[in-house]
Amino acid sequence: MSSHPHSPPTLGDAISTVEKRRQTFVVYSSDDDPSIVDQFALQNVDIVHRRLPSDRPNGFVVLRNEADEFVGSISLDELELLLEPPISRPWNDAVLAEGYRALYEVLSHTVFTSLDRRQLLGTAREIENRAWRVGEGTLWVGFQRFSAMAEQVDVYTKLADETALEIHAFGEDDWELPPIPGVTCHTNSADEIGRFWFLLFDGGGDDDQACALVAEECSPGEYFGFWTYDHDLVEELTAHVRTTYA
Amino acid sequence: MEANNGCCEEPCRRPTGLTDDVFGVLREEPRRYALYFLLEYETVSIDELADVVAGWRRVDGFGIVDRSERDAVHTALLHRHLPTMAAAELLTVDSEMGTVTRTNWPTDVREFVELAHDAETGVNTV
Repeated sequence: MSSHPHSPPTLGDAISTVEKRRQTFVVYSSDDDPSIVDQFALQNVDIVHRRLPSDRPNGFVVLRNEADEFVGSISLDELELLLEPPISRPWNDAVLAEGYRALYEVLSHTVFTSLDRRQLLGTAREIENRAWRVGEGTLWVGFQRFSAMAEQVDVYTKLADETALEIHAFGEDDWELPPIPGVTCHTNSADEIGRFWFLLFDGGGDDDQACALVAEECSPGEYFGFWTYDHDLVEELTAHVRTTYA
Repeated sequence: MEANNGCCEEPCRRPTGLTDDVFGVLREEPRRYALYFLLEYETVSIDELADVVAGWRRVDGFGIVDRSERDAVHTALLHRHLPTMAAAELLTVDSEMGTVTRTNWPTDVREFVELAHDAETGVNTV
């Protein structure tokens, strides 16, 4: 691996960097102010409203990146799915169909300011699902506190058991975690570990499969952060977590 | 629209604006959605028109419209649909500015486009 000329960014640095990439949501709707868009409370997104000539309340959103290039378009109904994500097991293909994964891809690098645990669990599942499909590589998961991992023990037991994944879990030691074969648990009481919920998957040799979620708990149960499919960024984040905590 | 309930005293004539060219335009979905958007905005960029046509007609479908799908719509608009609509005198294209502008549609054309819009985008249907 090439050495970095600078030290890898911390999780907070990464959020700040992504936050600087402005994106635009052009909301096409007959409703002048579809509430769904506000619910996302997006940090680095400019929202532009354009009217459609119907009385029909639903519409669609076009996402354009910093260079004003088209990134994707989704219906407002579907955007709502992210607020109420179906939470299934990582190996359940039915829910995480291609279209649904594409939805996450389109919204990557969008900095959200107030998603709750359930909403982010949808994103976490999408990353675990990728790791499951690829079946190899390394998955780094920060649970903040090991008590938060309690409900995920069966998921991670199966992930470790049925794939060749190398799995590292991080958290504060507030719960006696049962040993999970194939999962290396790193107890750590560092401030960053306690504040950030993260999942980093290196893609298992396939750069296109690399993905990450980085979310800071800014008030209890409320998160600020982003997810990404940018391999270079995932690699930087991984380097930081590995060198600092592993 | 006014119905002519079988009491024609003169032979029925097609209303002035609705030429064969206009009906020809309406045969294809991307062109219809472009006209629907022009009901709301008189001048729009071709870039935006491509976004709208690609995004709007997929509102009821599942999944996202990706870059390649949208770019295919853009190409089709540019080389096929916009010239057809311009020939039917429904819009003018400013290639230099990359915009299209709706012409002054006769009332019957506007009503017909509105009717198609309501039927196709599901307004007033349950």
